[in-house]
This record gives sequence, structure tokens and C-alpha cells, in this order.
Amino acid sequence: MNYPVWNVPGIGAGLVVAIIATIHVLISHFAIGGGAFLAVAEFWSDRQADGERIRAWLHKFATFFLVFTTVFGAVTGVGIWFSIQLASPEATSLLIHQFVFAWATEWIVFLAELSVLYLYYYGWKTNSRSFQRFLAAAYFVIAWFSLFVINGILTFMLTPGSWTLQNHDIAGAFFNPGFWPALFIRTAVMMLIAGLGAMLVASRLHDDALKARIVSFSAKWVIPAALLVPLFGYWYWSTLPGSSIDLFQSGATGVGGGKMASINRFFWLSVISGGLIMVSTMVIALRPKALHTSAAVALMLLALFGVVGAEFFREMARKPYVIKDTLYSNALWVHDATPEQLAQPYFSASRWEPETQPLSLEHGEWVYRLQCATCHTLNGYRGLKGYTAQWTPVSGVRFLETLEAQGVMPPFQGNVDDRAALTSFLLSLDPERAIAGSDVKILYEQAQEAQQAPQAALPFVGSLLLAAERGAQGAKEGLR
Amino acid sequence: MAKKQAEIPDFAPIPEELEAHLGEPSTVTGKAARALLHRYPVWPVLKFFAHKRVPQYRHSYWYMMGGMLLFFFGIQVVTGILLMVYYQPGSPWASVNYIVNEVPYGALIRSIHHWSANLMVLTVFLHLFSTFFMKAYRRPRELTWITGLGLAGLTMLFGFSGYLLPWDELAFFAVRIGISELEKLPLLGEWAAGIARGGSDVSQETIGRFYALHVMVLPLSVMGLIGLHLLLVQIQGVSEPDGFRKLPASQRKYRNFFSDFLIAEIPVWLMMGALLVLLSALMPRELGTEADVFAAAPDGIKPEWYLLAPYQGLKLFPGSLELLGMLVMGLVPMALVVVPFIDRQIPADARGRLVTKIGVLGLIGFVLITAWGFFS
Amino acid sequence: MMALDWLVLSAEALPIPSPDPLGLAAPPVLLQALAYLTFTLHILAVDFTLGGVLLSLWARWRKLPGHASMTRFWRLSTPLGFSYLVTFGVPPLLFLQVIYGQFIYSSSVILGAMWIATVPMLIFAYGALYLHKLSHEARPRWQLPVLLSSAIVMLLVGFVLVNNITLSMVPERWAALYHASPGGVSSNLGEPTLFPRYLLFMSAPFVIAGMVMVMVGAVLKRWKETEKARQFSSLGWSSMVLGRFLLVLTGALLLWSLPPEIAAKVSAGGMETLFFALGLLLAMVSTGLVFQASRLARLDLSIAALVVASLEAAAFIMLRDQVRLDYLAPHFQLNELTVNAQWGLFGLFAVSLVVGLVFLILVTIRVARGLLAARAQ
Repeated sequence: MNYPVWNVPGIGAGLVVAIIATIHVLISHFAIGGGAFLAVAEFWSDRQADGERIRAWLHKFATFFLVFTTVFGAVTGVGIWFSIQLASPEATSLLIHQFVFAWATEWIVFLAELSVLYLYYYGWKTNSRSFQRFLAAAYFVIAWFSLFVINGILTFMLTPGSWTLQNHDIAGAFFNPGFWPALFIRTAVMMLIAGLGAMLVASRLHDDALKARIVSFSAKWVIPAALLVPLFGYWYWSTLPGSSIDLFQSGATGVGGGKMASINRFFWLSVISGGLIMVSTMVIALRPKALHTSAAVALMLLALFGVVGAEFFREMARKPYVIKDTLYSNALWVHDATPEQLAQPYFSASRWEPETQPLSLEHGEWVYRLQCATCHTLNGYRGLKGYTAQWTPVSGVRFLETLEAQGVMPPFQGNVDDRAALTSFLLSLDPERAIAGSDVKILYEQAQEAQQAPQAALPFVGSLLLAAERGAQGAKEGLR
Repeated sequence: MAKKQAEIPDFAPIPEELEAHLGEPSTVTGKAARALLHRYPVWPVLKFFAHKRVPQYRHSYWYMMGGMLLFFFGIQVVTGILLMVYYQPGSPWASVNYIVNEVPYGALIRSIHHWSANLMVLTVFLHLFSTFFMKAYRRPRELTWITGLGLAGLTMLFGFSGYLLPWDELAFFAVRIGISELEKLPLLGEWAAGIARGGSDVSQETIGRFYALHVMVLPLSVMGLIGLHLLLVQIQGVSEPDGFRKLPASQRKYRNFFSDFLIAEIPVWLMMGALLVLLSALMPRELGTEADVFAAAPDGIKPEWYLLAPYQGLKLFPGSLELLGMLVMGLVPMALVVVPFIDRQIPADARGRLVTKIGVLGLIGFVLITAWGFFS
Repeated sequence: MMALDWLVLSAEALPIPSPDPLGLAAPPVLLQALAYLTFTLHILAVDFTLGGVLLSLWARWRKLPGHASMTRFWRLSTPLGFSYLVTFGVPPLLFLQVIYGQFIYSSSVILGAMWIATVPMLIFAYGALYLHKLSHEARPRWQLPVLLSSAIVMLLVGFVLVNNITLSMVPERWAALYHASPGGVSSNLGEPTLFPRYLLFMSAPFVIAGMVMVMVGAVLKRWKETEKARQFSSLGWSSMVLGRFLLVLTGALLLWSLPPEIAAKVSAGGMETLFFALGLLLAMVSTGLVFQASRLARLDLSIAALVVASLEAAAFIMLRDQVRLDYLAPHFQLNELTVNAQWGLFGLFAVSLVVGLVFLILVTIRVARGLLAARAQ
């Protein structure tokens, strides 16, 4: 293990990233789509008889937009970066090193985006009408370009295209198979969120007639976009790797650690949220003056849930990798995952464990910390105590042996001792089932021998296993 | 036109004031509305519904709690029916295990049912406390308040009875402890516990009883009581808190329940619906190991969070004081029932303010004891 | 002087990750130059914002003459300053991660809790500045607590950053800290240079914000607001003097707390000496300029003072990087890094930099003209 692993009890490092990231995704899409909304509303207000009145509202929208997107949007953007370097330093390092000048370009685009927004807002009273319209449009174009850049890096992680660790094919990496459909989805989504944001600001209006006009105008941003998303979504779907589709299709049944893959649940979350946004907006459009702030906030939350679903889907679709086919989610390089290397004692390759007694609980705990804790907690989110509730010492060690057969997990790194120590540690989370690592190893070896015995001995296998389990029970008693 | 209609027997004329709301007679909807209203002159009913209006002020979102409860109840009915398709009271754990692991989206539906139940109970508390602190129980709404309390009680019973049905370890022991508390009640305790369990201990017999209760008795009673509760609200209109009444008429703003308020409620409900999916996706309801009637109770068995307060509260009365504890616990619902008859004055007088203070203390106590139970 | 017993540990036992397999996308010197440039801008924005908030609090607390217009100036400008301090903070960290990735990632994880806490803290401090700005009429009583809490949180964020950077330079400490708290609830408080370094960073805001006030004083003088001009200039000059004094003090403290063989390099005639001497020289020049600027209320001199002070900051930033290389010398050499240059992308970056800056300058001039014309009326 090259880097230390950040062990966040209860929620896990991954969920810390997810919390920051989903907020950022919602706001950053609003920051781009809202730019388009500002630009179009500038033109629209010029064609209305009461343009001044609409622009007075537009100034309120711009204030909300500026504070919300710069304070929460910009800082959560930095926050994602801070959190991914804690959760996956190896992957972050790869993305930084491969794309450093893309990031730097992205930064210039962001700098320009931010500055143009300030010039638009602080020049509200003194800029000419045509210059304001120009600035609003320029803001949108620049902001959309920032999406263009980041989208290349995001989609690269799931569909790296022709890129490999050896060829450094950056053009192939950036314009990867998922690039264009994802760009179109995000463009539609940001128009949708812009409409919802405008509705939120408009819901505060006391003038019912003006409110109704602005809400109707805003609903026209939501409904077409909500119709386009599934269309682009289908296109995106066609670029997904087969392994992601398999994962999805195995996901209709089961729960928790079972067969119902979370990718499936999150897919439905985004579909349902999107559909409900559509329904809600149509209901509101029937009677736009009835839009209450609570309803507008509810619509924004629906958008947030949709974003949660979609972004989790994207993350889950990569399982068991963080960079598809190159780097596993727990920072194991695919090129290091050869049977010989995997079978080495785990601590011979890792750097971050303290001195521990072989097969002790600490041994198992540090295997957990360095190898599992990137994705799993003990008692909370994806908690291993719950996932291993049905384990026996022997089944645990065997499960670890074929970890990658799950389709969602990297192969286990380490030898029998590491597996036995980890099994002992996980079983001991429940005091009722606590068992020493050395006992786990003995039981496992006995079971292996029994399995390798000639066919005639098969009827005895069951009784041997039973005896082994009893032995474990006895060993446990002995320990007490 | 009017003449023609008059010639058709039993064709009711539409009142003038209604015409304005029906849209152009040339449009499809306008035609359909007129055709229907000629045949079914329901405007007294419409009028009855149209008069309901909701006061509008900073905290008027509290008026959404009732609607939200209705929404959660609807979700429970739909997901409950879907679960009934596969659930078998004869082999409870195996059939739930089948739902969770084999039935497409069974785990998702079950998780939604679980989360909706929890949010429904939470909303019951919010609805109850907001009504209490707005003093909406006062004359003339005593009966509405009491039907509401009845619904709150039935909701708890819903939760308690549904909790046993999967027949996993936690469910079994939690219900066993719950019923044994009931058994300690003087006079009728043992008898009631026997009826609930169908024997001297919780067994598969109990499942049959809880199942019938959960899918027939309770839904029918709740539906009936909701109907009555809503009818009473509709007759009397929405209560206005004292602060709002004091305002001069020009500052008292209202929204019509139909359809302004309702339209704003719909996105909130749908958001709650998506929230149920989110919670089910992040934290799916897992199924424990099958209950073993003869096994020793594992450590840390507790009832669901909404029953923690009475459960944990009883621990304040150890040993022989337990009966006293039950008496105190029993007094809380009694006090809630009689409160409209004690606190009657509008605007609130000294007694009314005292009731509010006691309510605040009660709420703090409830939250603290629940938290204590949760973390102990 | 401190004994460096921790250096006795064998370097092989240290958990230093291997560098990224992809190598550097440009020669290190280019990345360093970009990091120096952008980090200088970051520090200037930090000093402007934090210094502005502190001076604003001081002026309000002491009810200085003219404090209403001073607080107004900072109220309007600090949210913008904060926005740019965040934005300019990104590229130096980016280039830092490219060059020193295995060090900074490791120390970030070890300080994980603190490091992630900067995100809500930044949102709070930044949001508070906007709240301060937008609520000053509606809620005058909020002003002081809101601004004060923003200042405190900003100071805390700075402390976290200095913790992380100092820890990234001493891999000898990593294992013990990580084993004690794999959740990252650690700090680098055992580092002898931590507080001197932190206090040094927190002294500079008084200099830069003071210079800005002198400059604003000169502008006010042009606008014939003589009284206000004098008040701005006076507070600005005092703040600059205080800042200079603190910088000398904390700078000396930092030199004294450095490991002796590293401190010795500052006078050994190498790059360290060059940057140090250059920094000192520029500091003296900028102090002289700002003295003249405040005395004569001259805009050109005050701008020149700020430019020289920026160069001074750049010199000390380069010194800082040299010191880091000295610290890391046993484990890390710049010339051992693999370079897989991506000149095409670098070109794209350079072009967008030029185009972006030209565009921004043009539109800014146009908006500024409008604002100034409106003021003239």
C-alpha cells in the first residue's frame, strides 16, 4: 500500500467525497445553466413592456446566483479535490499527473468565468444594456467550457478509451467513448437546474402576476431538459462497458451485500427523481402563482436526489476500479495484481502498518484498514459487521480467496495468514463469535484437507466441518 | 342553448358563478366539465371543499404535515399490497427472505415500506406537536384533536405489528419484550398479552394475529378515522394561531386550499417519495437471521426508536416502582386527550401559557429519553 | 538548538510512497515557476482579505476616525478578495501535487480530519463575508460577530495549511502519527517551526492590507476627500509598520527554529542566500516606497510599493521552496524525477492563459470606465 488509507468511522471516506461532490454537482450545474438563464432572460426582458420590473427581479436572481455559486459552488469544488486526495491519493495523483495542463486550463477558464460574473454583477447599473447581454452570454460560454474540460477527466475514469498507463494517450483519454453523451446529459441537466433555481428565487415574489410569468418562463427550461436527459442517457448507456451493464442487470434482487447491486438502486433513484421533477413542474405550470417556496425547495431537493442517483451510478459503474482496468478502488494497480504478487504476505508490500503479531487481531485490523477501509466501515455505511453476519471462519477465508469473483471487489492481497487474521478480526466484531486468528487458520486448513480427500471420504466432509466448527467453539471457550 | 338543456329531463342548470371557472365552452375540457355538471350537480360539494383556506405566515409550512401523512399512508398501502403478494404468514422469515433475495425489486419495495413507516411516525410527531403548540386543539376542535390522537396511536400500533412480521431475531425479541411490558399491567395485562400473543409466549401463532391486525384491522380503522378527521377539518376550516388572529384584517393573508395550497404540496410529497428511494438506496432494510424461539436474547435488543421513550422511561422506575412508572406513562396520552378541555381560552390565558410550558418540557423530555434509549 | 534525533532513523524504514508512475508533464523548473507565480497571487489575495477583515475589525473596535468608510471599503472588497484567494490557491496546490505528490498526499491523509474540515471552514468564512456585506443595513448588530467569526475561521484555515505543509516535509513523523490515528485526527504540533511559520504568514496581511489602504488613501486624495484620505493613509501606514515589525520578529524566530544545517544554508551563499537577500532588499525598497506614498499621498508610488512587495513575497516563496528541497534532500531530488513532457497540452494552457488574460483585461477596463464615469457624475 503506497499511501496511508483515511479511516473515517461510520461513514467511510467514500461517502465524505460523495456528500461534498453531490452538493458541488448540483451547484456547478446551476452555475452554468444559470448563466444561460441570465443571458436569455436579459434578451427576454428587453422584449417585454415591463422590462425594468423583470430586470429588478433578475438582479435578485443574480445576487442569489452569485453568492450561492461562488461560496458553495467554488469551495465545494475545491472540497472534492481535498476529499478525493484523502480517499484515493493514488487515483488523484494519476489524474493530476496525467491531466495537469487540462486542470491548469480548467483553472484559467474558471478564473475568467468568475471574473466575468463579477463584472456583470458589479457593473449592473453602469454597464450598457448591450454590454450586459454580452457579459451574460460570455459568462455562459466560458462556464460551459469549464464543464467541457472537467467532463473529459470525469468520463475518462469509467471509459478510458485507448489510453493506457504506458501509452499516455491523452487525446484518447480525454475524448473517450463516454465524453460526448455525458457532455450532452450534463448540458441538459444544467438547463433543468437553472429553471428550478429561477423558480426558487421567483417563489419569493409577492407580486402574483409577475411571479406567474417568471415561473412559467422558468418551467420552459425544466420540461424540455427533463425530456432530453433520458434520450442522452440512452446514448450514454450504449457507451458503458459490458461489466457495468452486467453489474446493473444482476441488481434487481437482493439487498446489502447480496445480489442487489447498489448501481441498480441508484439508477432508479435518478430516474424516479427526474420523473417526479417533470410531474411537479407540470403541476406547478398549471397554476404558476401557487408556487410556494417550500415547493420550490422541494423541487431543488428532487434535483439533488437525482444528482445523487446519477453520480452514485457513475461511481458504482466503475466497480471494482477507480480508473477502469488500471487501478482498483483500494489503490491496487492492476499490473501488480498477478497471482504471484497477490499471494505474497500483505505486509511485505505495504508501508503503513505498525509492527503486529502475525495472526493477531491487530494484524487483521491493519489488513482491514489498509485494504478494505477505502470502501467499507465496520459498523456504518457498507458496514462489514453486517456484511459478514453469516460468515463462519472457514467460509470467511474462502470468501476472501475469491473476492474478485463478486464482480465488485478487487482481489485480496495477501496469504492465508492475512486472510485468517482478517476473518478473525471481522468475526470478532461480534463478541459472541470472537475467534483467534490462529484458530481460523487451523479450521481453514482442516477444511481444505477434507476437501482434497478422495471421493469416498466425501460423506465425512460434513462431519469434519462440524467437528472443526466445534473445535472453534472449544477454542473460544478456552480463550475465555 | 340553455333552452335546449331545459328540455332534457333531469338536466341541471349550472349556476352563473360557476360558469366563470369552467373555461371556454368551445374547448374540450370546458365541454366535458359542463356535460358532467349537467348530469351530476355536485356544486354544493364543490362549494363545501372550496371554502377551506390556509392562513399564510412565516410558519405556515406546518400545515403541510397532515397532507404529508396522507401521502406516506398512501405509500404504505401501495407497497404493503405489493409485499402481501409474496408474504406468507405460515413461513414468515422464508417468505421475506424470498422477497429480499429473489423477487425483482422486492428488497427495494420492502426498504421503501420500512423508511416510509419511519418517516410517517416522525411526521405524526411533527403534526402532533405543531398542532399542540399552535393550540389548534381548542374549542371547537376538540373532537378533531382526539381523532388525531387516535390516529397517532394506530400508527404506533401499525409500526409495532409490522415489526414482527419478518420474524427475524431483532423483531422477535423486541416484540417479546414489548408484550411482556404489557403483561405487567394490573388487572387486564395478562389477558391482553395472551390475546396479543395467542399463547404464553410469542410464537408463530402471534404472527397470524399481528398479520390480521396489520393488513386488515388497522388499515380499515385508519382509513375510517382519517375520513372523519378530514371531514371535521373541512367543516371547521383550518385553525389560526393567536398571533395570526391578532393581526389587522388587511395583514391576514390566506391561500385557498383548493388548489393553491394543494398544488404547492404536491412537489413536497413527491420529494418525500424520492427521499424514500434515496434512503432505501443508501441504507436498504436488511433481514436478520431467522428468529430462534429458544435462543437467548442477544444484547442490546430495543424497540424501534418511536417506542423508545416509554420503554426507556420505565427504566427510571426500578423494581416495585415499575407500576408507578406505567401509571406515569399512561398519564401522558390521557393528558393529551383532556388538554382541549383544560386549555380553552382564546387568546391563550395564563393557564394556556402554562400548558404550552408543560408541552415544551414534555417535548424536551421525550427527545432526551429517546436519545438516552438510543445511545444506551 | 534542537537535536535532530529523528533524522537518525534509517530512510529505508520510512513509509514514503513511490512517485507517480506517469512522471511529470513538464520539466520541474517550469512547474516550479508556475507554482511560484500563482502562490504569490494566492498569498497577496490572502493578505488583502485577511488583513482587510482584521483592519476593519480594529477600526470598528477602536472607533477610529473615518471607520465607517474604512469598514465600508473592506465590506465591499473582502468577499471578492476571498473569492480570488480560493481561486489562486488552486494552481499552487496543483503544481505542488505534481512535484511533491507522494509527500503532500501522505501528510494530508495523516491530518485527514483537519484537512477536510477546511472545506466547511472556508464556506463559513466566505459566506460570513457575504452575510456581513448583504445584511449590514438590515441587521447592524450582526456585523461585529459575523466579521469576527469569519476572521477566526480564516486564521484556523491558515493554521491547518501550515500544519500540512510542514508535515509533508518530515516523513520521519508520519508512521507514529498515522498509527495513533488512522482517521486522521492528528496535528503537527510537535513541529518546532510550526508556530514561527504560521505567525510569519499571519503577519504579512498587516503589510499588504496596510499598503492597500495607503493606495486607497491616494485615490481618495485625488477625489478631493482629503480628510478620509488622511485617515486611510494613516491607518495603512501604522498597519504596515506593525506588519513589518512582526515579520522581522517571526522571521528571526523561524530561522532560529529551523534545523541548524538548513538554517546554515541561508548564509552559505547558495540559492537560499540569494532569495533571502533579494527578499530583504525588496522589503526595504517597498517600505521606503510606501513611506513616501503615504507622506505625499501619491498613487503611483503606492502602486509601485505593492508591486515591489509582491516581488518580495515571490522571493521569500522561492526561498521557502528551497528550504523544502533541503528538508527532503535525503529522500528526494528534483533531477531524479521522470519527465514525460506534454508540450501540446502545455501550449493549449499557455494560449488559453494569454487569451483569457487579454479578454479579462479588456472587459475589466470597459466596466471600470463605466463605474468611474458614474462616480464622476
